[in-house]
Amino acid sequence: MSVLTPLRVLILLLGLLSLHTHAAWFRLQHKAVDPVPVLVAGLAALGLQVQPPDGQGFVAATSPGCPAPLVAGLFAIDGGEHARYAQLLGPGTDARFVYMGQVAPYAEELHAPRRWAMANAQALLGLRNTPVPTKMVLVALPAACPQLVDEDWKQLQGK
Amino acid sequence: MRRFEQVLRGRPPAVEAWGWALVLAALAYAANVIGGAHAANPLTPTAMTNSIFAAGAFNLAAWIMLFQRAPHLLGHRPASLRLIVAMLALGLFCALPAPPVVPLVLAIMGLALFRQPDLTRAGRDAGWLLLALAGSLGAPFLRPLHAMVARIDAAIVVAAMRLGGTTVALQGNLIIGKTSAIEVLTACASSAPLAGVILAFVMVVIYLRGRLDRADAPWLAASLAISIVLTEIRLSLMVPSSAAWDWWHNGPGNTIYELVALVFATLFPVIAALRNRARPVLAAQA
Repeated sequence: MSVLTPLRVLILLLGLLSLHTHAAWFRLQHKAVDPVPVLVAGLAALGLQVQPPDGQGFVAATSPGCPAPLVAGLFAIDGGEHARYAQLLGPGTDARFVYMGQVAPYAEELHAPRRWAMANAQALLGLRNTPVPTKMVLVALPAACPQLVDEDWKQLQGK
Repeated sequence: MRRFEQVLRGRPPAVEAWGWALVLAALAYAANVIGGAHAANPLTPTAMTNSIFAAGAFNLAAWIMLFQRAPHLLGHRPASLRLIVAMLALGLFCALPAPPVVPLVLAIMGLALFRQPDLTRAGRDAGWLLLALAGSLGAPFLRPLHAMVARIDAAIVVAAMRLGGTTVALQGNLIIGKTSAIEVLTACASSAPLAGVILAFVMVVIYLRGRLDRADAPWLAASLAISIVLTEIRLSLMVPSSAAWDWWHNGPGNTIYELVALVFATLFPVIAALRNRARPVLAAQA
């Protein structure tokens, strides 16, 4: 009987797959960065005047064409921080939720948990080399400045 | 299906299939340990070796004992199609880098090994080692259980200290002394080291005597009881002041506790192995 039977080759491939998935996973963990500075940089890249984050991690910013400030924050994608982000959404605000390069007026429309799971599956297989965000961005826009709605908010969190 | 069977032409012996499953599980274990220890550091051969040793001498010894027994787990028979499919499924499962996967795979393997009709003595030893290792690696993930035990530990420590004349109060898992308070967290609960104590017991007895016996059960129970008592004593020594907490939690007191715990964790299985080995001889002399 040959030493290299198809089954043994299959097992060898499984071993290599295991090493590959583990290495890819830990490499991603090493790459994980604090999302708040990324959010601040993203708002600045949109040409906004950004304030330092407050104690709760909320970031206020103003646009040249709008005197009222907008406020952005990061929230868990599982909806567990609903009460926290409700603080940002008052009667005079419009919401834009951003997750992995997609923007929607309602968090549910982003299907964030499903996309998080898909992205993690890709990461496990080594098909993704950037960390999968566990938080989504909420931008509370002042309703007095409707032009802000059309900003390219998806830049705040890349794919 | 026929094509798959063609792939399996020249089926390996069942013992080889088990050996491969063990190799894949060991690979996943090593990858988890090394990756967890060096996620932020460069990987060098020395660093990789050090992280394997740092993950626990008993764990490493258990793996060595498992691989020593791997060629003799079962009698001589070819692997069934079911066994090969199960082994490949376990191998694929091992490729998931989540840390709870390895203990789960080891537990499945241990339980499945005991169901094999032609299990040898080495196979039985390996079954116990697999289950003990699965328990030791999986115990940290049983946080709700440890949290529950932590509250009981706090209550026991408070009761014992009150019996000793010390004024302390209990609030959930908080032990409140006159000048300081300690919170019994999951890693400090008396249940946290028990899986390690069981692993040490199984390994030492199998190493010394070559098999586990029902007569060892009281010694195992004593070993677990001593471990629990040691944890309660350590917790009660931490309560009086923050300096005492620091000494017993982070300082030399912690080393003393770990050494004493290690002595008892190895002493009881040694006594069990020697006593139960000597018994038939004594009976013959009588």
